Amino acid sequence: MAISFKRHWATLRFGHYLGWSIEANWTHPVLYGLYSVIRPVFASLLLVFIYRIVVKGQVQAGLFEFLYVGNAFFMYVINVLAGIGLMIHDDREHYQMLKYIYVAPVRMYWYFLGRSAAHITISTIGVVVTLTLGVLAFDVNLSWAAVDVPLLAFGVITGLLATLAVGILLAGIALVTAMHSFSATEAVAGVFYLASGCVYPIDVLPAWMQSFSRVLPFTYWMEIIRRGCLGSRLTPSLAQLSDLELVGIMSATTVGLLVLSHFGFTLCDYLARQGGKIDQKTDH
Amino acid sequence: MKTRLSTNLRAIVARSYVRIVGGNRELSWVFFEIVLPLLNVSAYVFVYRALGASPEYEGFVILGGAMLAYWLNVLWAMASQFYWEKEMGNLELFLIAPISRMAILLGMAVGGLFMCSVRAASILVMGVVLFGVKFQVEHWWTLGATFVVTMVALYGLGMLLSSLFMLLGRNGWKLSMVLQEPVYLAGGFYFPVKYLGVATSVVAAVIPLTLGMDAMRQLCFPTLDTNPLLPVGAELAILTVLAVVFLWCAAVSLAHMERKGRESGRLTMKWQ
Repeated sequence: MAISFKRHWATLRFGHYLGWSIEANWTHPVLYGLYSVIRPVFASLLLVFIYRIVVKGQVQAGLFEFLYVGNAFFMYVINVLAGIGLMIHDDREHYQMLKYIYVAPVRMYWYFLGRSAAHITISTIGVVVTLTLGVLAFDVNLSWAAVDVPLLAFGVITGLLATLAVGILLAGIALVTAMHSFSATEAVAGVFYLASGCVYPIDVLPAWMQSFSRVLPFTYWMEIIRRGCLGSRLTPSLAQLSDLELVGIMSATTVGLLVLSHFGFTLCDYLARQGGKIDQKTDH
Repeated sequence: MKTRLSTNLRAIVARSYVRIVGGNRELSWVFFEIVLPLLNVSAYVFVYRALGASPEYEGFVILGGAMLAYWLNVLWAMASQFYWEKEMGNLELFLIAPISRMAILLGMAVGGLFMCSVRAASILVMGVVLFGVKFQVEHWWTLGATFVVTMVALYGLGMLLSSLFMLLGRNGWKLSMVLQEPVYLAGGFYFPVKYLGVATSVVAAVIPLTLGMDAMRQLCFPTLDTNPLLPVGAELAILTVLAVVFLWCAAVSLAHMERKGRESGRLTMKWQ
């Protein structure tokens, strides 16, 4: 069945609207706004305290900004992947609506993309508030003069695409597994957090883990975001890469991830239909 | 109608059985529950290494990481548990059974405690093996007593939260999410809580893990400067008081919330 781009776009929009509603309609909008920034702000505060009070700031200049900016942007990965873990469970088992969406004339890939995009919207609020608070309250040295707008814009767009690609792939895996979606998505986000050097240069990791870091697109994403925001190169092992080389690596890995995500999701979707898992209910 | 003690004891055993046996039957859950906190803990160890902090902080992080398993268990498997039970249709079965609601909560706590202890022990062992952390415990009995009292107080708090969250829907779930990160900071999971200032630490001491970890840090690393909030004895005494208060409040609150729920018809309301 051929579906027009207009229909895909509508699926994406309504998926986004539904995702946003499920996430936000349980309380008053003001309270929701507060809720959505508490987690990211406190996660950053933890790092601020570690830096300011425990270590007393006796470290290389710029390292505080390095970890603060990395942690703020990594919220996208954590929130989107965690949201996807819940999404399959919610749609299939909790609200039991997945089967009805499947019989609608839509492509599930676009629907899940829309649902995931809602988490990007929510994360964006958290990232903006965290960065603003960092500048205003914690002396994070971010200046507009140092911002490389094209590089930062490229980093944000490709990073989000890569995150969505991983998320959709995990959504596919969640379709064919039972009650593992929470843990699997959290584990993947945790591995990326640990290995992509979002709060420390990857050079502090053991050698074998550094090798692993170098094949993760998120390692290059973090480096691009930091160069775009701060203009500095604090990861020694990535410092020799030019901006253009980083852009090339990030583009190639993102395209690779998108292709993998598309085929991976299509395969899982096929297996889920074959195995009768679309209306599977594993809680009791 | 008074329920016989033996019936309540059987209810405790039955509810904890689900957690002890069911929780460990699915091996992938055991794997994830050990690995997930370990990933987080490892990241903080590397943060300290990147900042050039002294190695004792790595020990604090590993201890905090092990205790983290209990806090997450209290939030997600105690406080939010009645929400899940309501959504799955089990809550009404609990309510019509001739047992005390406290027996259900106690069963959940006992089972959760056992399940978490396996995870916490694994994190400690892996912390020692992977990061070379050295624990130098001299007073094992005091450490054991501190752990037990901390857990009684912590799970007492979990029972209280569970009763408070009983009537909540998704907002209870979100509340649990909100309580995660602030407690990581205020509870001093990754550094001695006194660094936050005495006033903040005193407020944070409402969460039993704050004082419990402060005491355990002193007992596990006696030769290091752990910047303690209070001496171990005083912390143990406060934790004992907290344990009694939380358990009493949980019993009162549970009865009150159940009555309110029956009156408003919200005890069995799904998808709210």
